[in-house]
Amino acid sequence: MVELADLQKIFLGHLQGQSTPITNYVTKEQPGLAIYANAYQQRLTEALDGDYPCLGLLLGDAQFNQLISDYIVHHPSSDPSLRWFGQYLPAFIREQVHYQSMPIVAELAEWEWRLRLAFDAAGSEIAVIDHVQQLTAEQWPTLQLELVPSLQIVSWQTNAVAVWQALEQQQTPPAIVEERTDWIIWRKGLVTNFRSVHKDERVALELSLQGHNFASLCEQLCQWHEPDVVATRVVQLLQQWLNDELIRKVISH
Amino acid sequence: MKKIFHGFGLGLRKDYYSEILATQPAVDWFEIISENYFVDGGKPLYFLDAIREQYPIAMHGVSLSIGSTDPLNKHYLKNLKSLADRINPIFISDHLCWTSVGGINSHDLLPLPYNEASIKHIVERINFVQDYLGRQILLENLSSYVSFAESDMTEWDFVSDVVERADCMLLLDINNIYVSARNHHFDPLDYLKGVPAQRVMQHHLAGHSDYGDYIIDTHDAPVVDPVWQLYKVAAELFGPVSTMIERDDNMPTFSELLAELNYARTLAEPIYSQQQASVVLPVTSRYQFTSTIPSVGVQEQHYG
Ligand SMILES: [Fe+2]
Repeated sequence: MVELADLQKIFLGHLQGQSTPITNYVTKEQPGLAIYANAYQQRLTEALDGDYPCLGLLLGDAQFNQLISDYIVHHPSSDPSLRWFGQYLPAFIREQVHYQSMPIVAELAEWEWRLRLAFDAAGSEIAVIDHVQQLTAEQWPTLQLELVPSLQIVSWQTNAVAVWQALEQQQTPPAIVEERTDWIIWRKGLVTNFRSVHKDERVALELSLQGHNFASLCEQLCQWHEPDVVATRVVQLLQQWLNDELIRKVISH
Repeated sequence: MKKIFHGFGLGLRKDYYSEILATQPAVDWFEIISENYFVDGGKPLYFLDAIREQYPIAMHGVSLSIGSTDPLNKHYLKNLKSLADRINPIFISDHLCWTSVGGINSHDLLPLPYNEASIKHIVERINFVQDYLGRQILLENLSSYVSFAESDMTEWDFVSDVVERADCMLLLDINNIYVSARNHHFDPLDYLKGVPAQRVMQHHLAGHSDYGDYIIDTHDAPVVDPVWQLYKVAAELFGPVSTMIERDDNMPTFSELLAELNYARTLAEPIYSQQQASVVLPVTSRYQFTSTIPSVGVQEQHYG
């Protein structure tokens, strides 16, 4: 008599390709056991194929299949929803010695994952230009911005996004080069958006996320701009963010 | 839970979101895969809410893992409950199976040994889930590919015992009965006759892949004729039961699915009408001859 808990562990071990005594506990071995083991691999593989289509194109079938079968072994699914199964793949790639000399692989994987995150991230209310136009001169310095929950800010060491865009459109990707770039990803309505940002915009967004106010943004952006024009630059960013629907709420005191 | 007939439904799949909203097809209800909507926002919830405004929705889960020996996943149950609060579903269902153990999810519907120990284990867990959700759930029979040496009863006796003792309802998948009958060499009619009719709340119909010696439940093809024949027997045995077609792969046009669903209607509805006609009126009801007589237990219908 085998305890149910033990039987389930043995069965799962079989699905995961381990050598187990499962045949002692089933009355009809074939092809049923193989059907379950194949289905396990296939379902998880399909989930990763769906989450990382361009990574597959970048690596080619042989390398991609090797990567995902290793991932399936090292990161079995811990979430009831397949939606989250692939979440550790970018980190897993970074741990692989084989990929450490090719930073684009992890960056492109992380890019694809982050686009997925924006796709079903929480929505929110959106601030409109009227909120800003009503502000008095005294209110501007303490003005704070709450940004939309789908916003993500990322920096790459390579031209991962250019390569991703080409692969996505089934075109020949450009040569892989080292190139420091900053990007934002967010969802506008139901559509996932991304664009590159200059260093000063990146910092302004990060500061806003941390709760810094308009005066503080101006102060920090003096790294890139003369004091007499820095406020104009921050207002220009603010307008851009309103157009992009990046601002959830304008908080004035 | 009274046995309520909601008519004929289809699985809600993202391929059809826009078409459903644009054309408002004559489907009585849609069934979602609950886990697909355990997200914070974006298209999935947008379309779900929009379609919910026009159609009743049934919630069908794949990861409750009611038969697992892991503790029930409270976070999962919380997600399930908040989705139910959001859409007020006509049914909440999952499978009579286990999907995870040791915190690892197989994302497959795995069978259990059919014996008293399994029944006792599952019944306790169903009780917990039903208390937590504050309503009855439906559990679905599986397609299976192995039999366990520890089993000492038929699948239908196992299923019947579980739903009776846990006081839950049964989502009887007619295709799964056919698939398992072929794989395990039993008579599907014994199965249909062996389950408690008053607990059969919903049917699934689907296609499969037939390899001769065995069948795999793939949901990627039309329903086959032997399954339609079994469905007719089910209609005779169980009376009006909310029925839907599951299609998850090799997706056809929506109108093809609708045609398949209407075929289900044309098979079941004549049988249901005959059952209604054959209800014998008690003497005290002789002044009600002109009113429609619902068959026993039928509370509500949605057509159109
Ligand atoms: Fe089913």
